[in-house]
Amino acid sequence: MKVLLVDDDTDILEAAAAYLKLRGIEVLRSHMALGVTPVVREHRPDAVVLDVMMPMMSGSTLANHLKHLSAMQSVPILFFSAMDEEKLRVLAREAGARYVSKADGFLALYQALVTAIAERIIKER
Amino acid sequence: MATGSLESPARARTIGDLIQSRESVHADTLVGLVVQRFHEQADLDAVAVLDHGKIGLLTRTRLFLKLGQRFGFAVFERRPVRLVAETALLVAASADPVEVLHAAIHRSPEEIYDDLVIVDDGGYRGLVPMRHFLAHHKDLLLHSLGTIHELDGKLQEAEAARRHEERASQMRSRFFSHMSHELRTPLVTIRGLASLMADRTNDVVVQDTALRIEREAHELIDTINNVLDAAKLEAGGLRLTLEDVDLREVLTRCVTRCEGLVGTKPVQLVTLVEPGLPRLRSDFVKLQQVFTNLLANAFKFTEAGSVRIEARAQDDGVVVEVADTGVGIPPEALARIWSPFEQADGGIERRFGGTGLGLSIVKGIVALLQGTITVHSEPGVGTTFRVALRGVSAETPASRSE
Repeated sequence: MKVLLVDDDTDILEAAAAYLKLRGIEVLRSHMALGVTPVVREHRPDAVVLDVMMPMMSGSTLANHLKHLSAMQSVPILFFSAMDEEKLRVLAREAGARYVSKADGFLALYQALVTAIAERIIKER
Repeated sequence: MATGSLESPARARTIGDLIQSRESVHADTLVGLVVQRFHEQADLDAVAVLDHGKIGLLTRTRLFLKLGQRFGFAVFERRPVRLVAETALLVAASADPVEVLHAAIHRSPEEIYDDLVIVDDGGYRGLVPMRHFLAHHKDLLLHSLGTIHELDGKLQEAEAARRHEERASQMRSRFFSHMSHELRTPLVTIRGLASLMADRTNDVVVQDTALRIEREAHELIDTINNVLDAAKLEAGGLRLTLEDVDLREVLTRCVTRCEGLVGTKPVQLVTLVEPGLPRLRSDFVKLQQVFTNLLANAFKFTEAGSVRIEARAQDDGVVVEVADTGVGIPPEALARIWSPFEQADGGIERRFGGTGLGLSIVKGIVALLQGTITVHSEPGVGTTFRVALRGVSAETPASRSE
């Protein structure tokens, strides 16, 4: 299981990556939204986790780009953000993404990732 | 400009002919019910408040400004509407429009848009929207330039005041969401690093310490969320985002979120959701806040036994109960639990922690969602909160009658 994490806050990025690795997930990291597209094309992650409020390009803008890549067809996108949950939910719905509030912690992120990837596998069978 | 092109009967003969609404409530009606009425009728701008022959006016703007004051909702919700109504500009149905215009524009800027209450022989006949009234008498205004200048000035003042209020409210809401983001982000890192540390170590003491840091950070995040929500609720800044909500999904998220709060206490969590539960036209995140708060509360006050959350269809809605086997609430304290900063026992904070904001937020949100919440409690036995929600979504699979 390979997951791409994008977050401009390097503390959270490193901590989340370490947490997921410990649970057996291979993690690719990027601290900005720019330049993520080639990484996705090359490494084909099973899921992409995006922070929303990032400088230069937001997570929701990136999600809209990624959706159109052939490498991303049926790959789940998760927003992982500390913003107001109401707004997060609306943005996620608009982007066709799932969301986890950062306030719920890494375990919640891990659970959501596993669910998303499992659902995708079941769907593709 | 030719005025003859319009049909002249468009100008009403008397002010009484301009009545557009006959909405009224009795002065003893609870503010909460009137709020509900404004929620249900989006185009309702004002109601007359009838008080044994006296007549007042309550506009939507005025009501929500009152509720937006510090603790406004908590203070007024269960009080009679006469406390927030104002003595309006009363006008006899047969009054001279010019005189009424003069009277109207000499009011304070914030009142100038308020509707006119039309009476006949002392009795209430209806409301005339001010805009409607002005539109019908603009030619009268043109005849008296003094009047129109004054009116212009007044309208500009009113507009400036409105814009100022709007900007202040935007600033407030931007501040809240910025604050919450900035406060939560470092705590999320602390919480995450602590859980990472707990997972990685084999040292029991380090692990226990890390888990405690994690739990404390989690509680601090919840506290910050609650304080900000309470502030937003008071500022009237909580808005509904309606969608078709699957309550099962809401409750699953709440339960996952609260599992960590059990800690090492021998408390069992039981979730029961009736199959085929109808979807609700409601606000997903707000419902989640309600039940997360109720569950967190139940866990906080329960040392042993169980916390049960149960959802079932009832009438034209859904009922959710959160029941615990905790310390319970003494009868004399039951009425106070909904007020901000209250806990049943003033000295209890030291033992249980928390801001005492949770239940006042729950109450405010449930009211906003047009639901009701009741509580039943027995000291030493436990407490049950019962939330009744209306508004079954049209998209509900027709499973209830099957």
